[in-house]
Amino acid sequence: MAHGEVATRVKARASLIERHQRTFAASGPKGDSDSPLSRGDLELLDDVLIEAERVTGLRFTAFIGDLGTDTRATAEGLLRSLDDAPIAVLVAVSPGQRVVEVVTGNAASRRISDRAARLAVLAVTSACGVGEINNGLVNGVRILADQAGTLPERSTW
Amino acid sequence: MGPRGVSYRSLVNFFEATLIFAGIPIVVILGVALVTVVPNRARSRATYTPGGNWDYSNRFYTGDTPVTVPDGADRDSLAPLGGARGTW
Repeated sequence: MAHGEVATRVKARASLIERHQRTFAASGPKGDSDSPLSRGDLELLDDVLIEAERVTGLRFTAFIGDLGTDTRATAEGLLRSLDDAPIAVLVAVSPGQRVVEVVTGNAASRRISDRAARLAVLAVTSACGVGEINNGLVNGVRILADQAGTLPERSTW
Repeated sequence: MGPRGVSYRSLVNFFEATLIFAGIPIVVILGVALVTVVPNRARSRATYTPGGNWDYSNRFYTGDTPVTVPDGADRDSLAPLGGARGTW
């Protein structure tokens, strides 16, 4: 490692974080070795997220990783870090803690009731309970998008 | 090409012909397979089983479709946040 390399990297990361206004997803592309999802899984998740957003007009996000001791607070913090937080919907899965958190922003929660979020959580837990993390996320996002419903002007798209 | 057609200078028996036309291709195919499969196996991690540990780094995926936040939405407090929670 060259002299000053760490400092440069830290500085570059700080500027990325500043530009994106968030502390996650501010790093460049990484190899597959540390990815919990395979490429096929990622493509499917990508398709599902984008389809959900196109139909509902809400921002859909998915998180896989450690949610800390207060899982709810961490998940809410993730949602707050988004630019479109009021209309954002987060499905956060912590496989290490075996916890699923669904968080909806204040405007999104009018479209997706807590009751509907519980339905999505049920789907996620049943899929994750047999080790299918990716299917859990995909099903969760699809159910939440279904519950949010299609925007009237987009129903004929 | 003479009247006797093409032939090896010395006689090749059945086993030598098999070795050349089947043996060499098999060795090449196995060699390529070894070169691709072994590094992949070495790099792959154990698949997640419920209750097992999770040592991947955190991943946050968001869609990038343009969306508009309604004017009335409270951007600061974001209250009330909705949602649900579950364990498995």
